[in-house]
Amino acid sequence: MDGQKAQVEDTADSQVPARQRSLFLRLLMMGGAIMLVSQIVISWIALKGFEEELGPELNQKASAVGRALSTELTYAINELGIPPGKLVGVSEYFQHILESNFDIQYLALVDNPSGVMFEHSVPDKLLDQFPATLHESDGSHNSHSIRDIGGYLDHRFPIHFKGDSSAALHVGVSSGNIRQQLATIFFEVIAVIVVSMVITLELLTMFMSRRILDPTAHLQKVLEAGSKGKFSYRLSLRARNEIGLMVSSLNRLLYHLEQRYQDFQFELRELRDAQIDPRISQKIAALKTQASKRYGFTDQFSVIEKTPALIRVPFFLFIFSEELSRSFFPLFVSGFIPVEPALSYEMMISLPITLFMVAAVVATLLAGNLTHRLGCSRLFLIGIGCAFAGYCGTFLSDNYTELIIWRCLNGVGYGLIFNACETWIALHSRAGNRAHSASAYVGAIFAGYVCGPSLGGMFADHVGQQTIFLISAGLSVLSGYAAYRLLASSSSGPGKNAGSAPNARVFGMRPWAILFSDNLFISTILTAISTRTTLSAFLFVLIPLYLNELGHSSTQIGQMMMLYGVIIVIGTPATSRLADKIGKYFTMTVMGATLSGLGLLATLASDHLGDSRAVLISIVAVGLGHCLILSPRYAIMQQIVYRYRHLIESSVSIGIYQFVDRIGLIIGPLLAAILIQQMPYANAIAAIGAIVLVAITLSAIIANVGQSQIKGESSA
Amino acid sequence: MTSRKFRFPWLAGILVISLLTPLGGYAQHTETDGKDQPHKIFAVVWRGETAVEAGFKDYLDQRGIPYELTVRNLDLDRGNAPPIIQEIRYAKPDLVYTWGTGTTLSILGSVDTDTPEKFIRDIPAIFVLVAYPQAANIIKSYESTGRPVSGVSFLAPLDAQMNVIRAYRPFKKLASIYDSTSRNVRINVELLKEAVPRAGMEFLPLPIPLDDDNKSDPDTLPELIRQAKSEGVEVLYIGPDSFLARHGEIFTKTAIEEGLPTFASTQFPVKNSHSMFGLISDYYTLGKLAGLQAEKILVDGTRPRNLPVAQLGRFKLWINMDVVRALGVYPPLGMISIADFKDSGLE
Repeated sequence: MDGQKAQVEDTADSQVPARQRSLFLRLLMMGGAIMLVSQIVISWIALKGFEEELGPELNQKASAVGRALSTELTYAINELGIPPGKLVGVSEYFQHILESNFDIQYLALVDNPSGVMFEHSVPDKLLDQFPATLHESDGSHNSHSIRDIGGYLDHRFPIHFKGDSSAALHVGVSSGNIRQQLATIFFEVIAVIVVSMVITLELLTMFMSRRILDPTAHLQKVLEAGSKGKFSYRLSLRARNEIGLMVSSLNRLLYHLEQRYQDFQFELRELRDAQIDPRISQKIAALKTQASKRYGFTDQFSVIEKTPALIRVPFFLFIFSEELSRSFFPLFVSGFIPVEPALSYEMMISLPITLFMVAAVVATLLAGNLTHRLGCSRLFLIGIGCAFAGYCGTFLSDNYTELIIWRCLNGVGYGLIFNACETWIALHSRAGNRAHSASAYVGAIFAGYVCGPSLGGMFADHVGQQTIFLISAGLSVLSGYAAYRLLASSSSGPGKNAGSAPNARVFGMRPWAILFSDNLFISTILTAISTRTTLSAFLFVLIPLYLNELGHSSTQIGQMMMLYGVIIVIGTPATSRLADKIGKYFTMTVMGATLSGLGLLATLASDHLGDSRAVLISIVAVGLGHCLILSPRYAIMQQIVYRYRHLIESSVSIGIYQFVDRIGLIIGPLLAAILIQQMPYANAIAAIGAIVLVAITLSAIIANVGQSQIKGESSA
Repeated sequence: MTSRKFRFPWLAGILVISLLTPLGGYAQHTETDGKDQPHKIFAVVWRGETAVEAGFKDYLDQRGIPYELTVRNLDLDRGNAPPIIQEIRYAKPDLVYTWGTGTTLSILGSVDTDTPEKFIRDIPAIFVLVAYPQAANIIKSYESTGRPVSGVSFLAPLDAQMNVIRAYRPFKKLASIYDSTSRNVRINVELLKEAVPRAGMEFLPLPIPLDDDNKSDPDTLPELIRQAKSEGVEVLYIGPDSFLARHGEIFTKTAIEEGLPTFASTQFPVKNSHSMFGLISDYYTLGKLAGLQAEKILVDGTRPRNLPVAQLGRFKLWINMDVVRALGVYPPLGMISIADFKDSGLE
């Protein structure tokens, strides 16, 4: 009977969701498409509006600046009696004004006989044109006039020297600048569309899974079992929707069926007891046994099981909260560094990130036992508690030490939550859907990578960096609430299946010795560490610092970082299918790492590509490279775990792998700090690329040696 | 107000008595609302009443604080202090008010004086126009004065003063010609020795030679200015120096003749003589701030010992345009919108 039951579960798992999923996917795609189209239309209308408003707005600003400045100049010359030729500090003052009005391109004071007297940022091609425009000034001689000269809208304000207006102040607005501002708004709109799509799809997926997919799958399971004569299942679902009504009807049906069956059995018993002839009595007894074998009514209510996907939304919300500060965090830290830092400036910037990672790794290691005692949902909520306190503390921090302490607490929360999620996935997935379950977890991380940096960067530019941590605290509370609603009152967690939780007993030395004697494991670990190092050094530290140095706002930095997440989210499913199809997992990881390494070298060609474009190429290459690495690496680890399944418990192998893998996250910020002490940012990025290339070459050599050894052993 | 004066004939009596005092002091009376006893304030000034006292009185009036103010003048001589101290002891005021470092030290003594019996030690007091109260040993620290004395500090921070000088022109060498008999001024010169090089300028301190009475000799001023000029000095600095305030006319005019701009850290040289520019606190506003300190002591009951010395948050950049034109050293455009432009009456 157990075997039959297992069979029922397997068929329910493998067939039903596939059919439902196609319906669900169609619904999701349709909903997504409608939303996307409507967002694009609204954004287009809004952009049009901006375009119409922006030009006049900039002209108005140029007018205001020009009027104020010409008043000051007139006052200095006419009221204070400073001869125009003796004006001092004019260019410096112009520079100061341009710095605080970045949408104005140039300022120039032009005198009729002597030409340009003072100027700042006037393009060379315009310098000769000013005196000419002065002569042309005919009708507009005595008033503010605007002309289009060489791609610039030139505002001219006459300055009267004791009644004679022989000089003029020129204020220039570039039409290219208007286009650039429109492009900035356009990218902001795109970022908002992408983020809102990701959030909507995440929430839609959660509601669909919880309210429709999981109950119908279970319903199907009950019906399948019923078709085989097993009526032992009942569904426990209270919902006032169509599914809920269907479930209660089914439960009623099953109840009446059981009642009738019991009546039938009772009548059979009565009939058997009333017989005098033992043969007839035996026949009836046989019939009764046969009936109870054919129809099972033994078990009572069964609760709809928790699925791995349930953790996705709380986990996504948490990653979202953590990633909000990603695009500006190193810059945020730099504001806390004391005048006389204990370590080098660069080290002080990377230290909070490194210690965060250390705290996370230590928490992950220690959480193993806690998970056993408390269960996933409680561990998740403790993690959220730590993260919430960490965010609030960071928001209130006013010195470097406080910042470090609160970020470490955040790191502890991060570690506990990661452990809770991994354990949840391990506990709630079955052999058949383990890879699919893991994708729920990985998907949530990358959805967070897409939404966090871009939205966080944008908000930071508007409300200030420190306030973002308050928003993060709010999101973490939401995440905790979602976890409480979705994961709590789980029958699973402690005890049951706990052995399969990752990180269980990674402390023993023997599994380490066995795994590290395997060349494939070492080479995979090398790739994994170099991938993680790239992520934490390049993406978390160097990009924010370098792009900030190049003059990009937090919004723009966030958008560029979002690109990495978008590539991973779109690319990973494609590469995982490709990996399964061609089966050359290791070749793919080597290709991926090489691509990311080469991509990082692009910053060496900044002179030809332009600084920002080179960084963009690096981000895209690293994103694509990591796409190629992620899925095959998982498959390779499965192979290794399978190879040593008799010697090491699979969860222990995975625990060791994950621990070593995370070391990369700690190395990254430290490496970045050491590199930027020695060289400019662009070179530091390239140096990381070179290190990745060396690591991957080593990894390939080690793997080849391993394979030839295996071949040698098998031929011997 | 006058009608109220007649309702309190005893106040008029005090007025008459004080007018008859040998030092020409006088008492002032202001509003009392009939319910509260007016707070008795005893002010001692150095060279007659200034805008500080006007601001002080206006603040108390605006806040409706009843007070009775007696003002005595030291008339530039610390030797006039003992009878005033006697008078204060007799009058038992609620608050003593002192103007300037010399006055404060003569009336209140230093924080660790060996002869406390010669000074007013037990009556709450506030000082104004004291440039360096801590260095002059009037208080222990700005936060907690260590005695029943508080006050208002009036100088702009030295670094801010240096920044203004450098922002006006990248001068390379600055000289301070100073009265070496004044403790206040000596402290200032010591601080300048660090602050001027910090701002990227060379510093030349030139003490004014003393005459037979061991007092700074004003006749040497023109020669000192010429000496500074010959040593490559580009700007002269006037600190919180009463001597130079008194001889400001000759000092600043000689400087103009020699083509040297002067910067002043107090308002007297820019307002009453021909300093080219200065970063100063407005005396009237300063008086109002002193009024606020007095309110905290008299009305709120704060112990002066626990009342930190107050400081103005804003200072005035004063430029005498007639001096600027005479020297041909025009201010940079960036200062046009932030400075107060005046004429000093230079002929």
